[in-house]
Amino acid sequence: MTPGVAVPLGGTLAKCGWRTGSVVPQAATHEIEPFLRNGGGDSVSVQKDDWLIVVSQTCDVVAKNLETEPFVEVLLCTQIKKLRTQFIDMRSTRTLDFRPNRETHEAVFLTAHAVKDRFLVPRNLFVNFHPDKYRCLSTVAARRVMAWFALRYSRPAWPEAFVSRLRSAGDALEAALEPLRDEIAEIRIALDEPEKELDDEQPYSIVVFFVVDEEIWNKDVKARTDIYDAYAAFTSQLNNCDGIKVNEALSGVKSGEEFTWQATRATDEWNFANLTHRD
Amino acid sequence: MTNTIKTPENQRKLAAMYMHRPNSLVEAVESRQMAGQYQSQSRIYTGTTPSFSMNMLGAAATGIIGTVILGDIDYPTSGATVSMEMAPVGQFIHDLTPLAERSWARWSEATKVWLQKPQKIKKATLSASAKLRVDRLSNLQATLGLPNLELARSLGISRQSLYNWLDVSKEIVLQEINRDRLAAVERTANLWSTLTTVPLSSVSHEPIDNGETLLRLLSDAKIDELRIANALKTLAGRLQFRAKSLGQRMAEAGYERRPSARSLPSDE
Repeated sequence: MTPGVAVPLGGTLAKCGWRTGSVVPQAATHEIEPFLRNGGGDSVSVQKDDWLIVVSQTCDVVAKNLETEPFVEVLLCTQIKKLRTQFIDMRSTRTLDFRPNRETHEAVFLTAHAVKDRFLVPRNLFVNFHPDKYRCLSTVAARRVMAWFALRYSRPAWPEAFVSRLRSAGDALEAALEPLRDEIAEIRIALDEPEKELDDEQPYSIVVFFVVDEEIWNKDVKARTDIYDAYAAFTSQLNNCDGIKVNEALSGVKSGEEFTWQATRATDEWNFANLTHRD
Repeated sequence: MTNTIKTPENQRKLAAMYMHRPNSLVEAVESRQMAGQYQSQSRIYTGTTPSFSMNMLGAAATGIIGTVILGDIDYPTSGATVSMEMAPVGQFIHDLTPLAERSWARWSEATKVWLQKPQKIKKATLSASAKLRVDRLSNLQATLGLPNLELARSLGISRQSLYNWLDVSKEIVLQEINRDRLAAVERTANLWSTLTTVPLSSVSHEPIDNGETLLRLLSDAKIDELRIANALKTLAGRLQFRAKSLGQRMAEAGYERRPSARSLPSDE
């Protein structure tokens, strides 16, 4: 760098330490607050226990010029006494309850709404201060928040008539998939009428695939047993839903090696957030 | 004893209320048909004993220290014979309708809960034997990895029968011939699992002696377990010479898959 030439904005922000998951220090919130406005234009104040978290990707936070990336996205998270089951682990695409950092703040639980609590703040403001020294999201928490936003905008829009038929079995379906928590299989489904709201007397026909990682498929009999157990329970629950019929001939448990790109395109990944977005 | 005199308006409200049939109650009564052994019970009692009781269509009274709700569930929508709500001593109640609505809602809810109880018991009983059956099949599937049609042929049953066997909500008594066949296929699977962790499906279509495949041998009317055992050993030996898949070659070259969001540890 030539002496006397100003460091680009991105470099300064990087030197300050700003990245995804950084927290605006309490002392600096008054500088940010004017930009925190709700839909009606009223300003939102940051309370003492709130966490104002940077949720832009790090590469955007430290982008070289202000023109290319004028704003930093921040999420205003409020402390809650305990996590609520329906909002943890991305079960809702609207509200997320999460632990910001198990190592440094084991007893702190936060909640945020994906839209209401998300704000844009001019990026150049962040050169005036450094991230909070004592508070920042853990890697896991930062990944979770980013994945939560991604899920909100990438989830398949299933017909309401289909979702409502599944809703009564939601808990049982979730219980059926409990053995798959360790990501040993991915559930994908295809609907015969993915865009149509069918009448009550018309069933949705669906194809269900449990796609198994190739290594697990070849080496882990116990995991495969869990997967087949889960598949049987899951499809049984689906078949018990009024107005839903599993196409058993096409459905099945498949090795990732066998499940093709074409089949991936014809299916949606199952996610419980897909069932809650109309609640 | 009566502190209120029922007005004509109250009478109309109450009559309209009793005409209304809560959907939840109707559903509960309909579903009750499944629990035959409990149908002989016809009355439900809930709440505490009142100091006295009287017909709801009469009037509210003071001094009641508890609630009793009696409903003839053989005629659940005909109206409760007695339905009383607590009223603090000395309090004068002008409008009976909210009182009666609450009683009606409680009677409906209590009846629904009671009617659902025997079904839950029955389901729990069902799931024990069905779960064992499904577990056995899951073990088979995990070891063999066969598509359902091929597994059904091995078991000597139709694909639809296999779906029924796999449905944990269905109570199925296997016939002796089915039990024997299932046991034979299980023995085959057990032998295969001692030879390799790879599912049998990866080689089940490969020809063995005389151009036969293992699937063909498994589909015979009578399973020749000795011949199948020899075939399994031959096929397991071939596995080490199989070409590696693209995914395996990429993994060996250091291209590992990126963990997805679902791999994040739960916040629970």
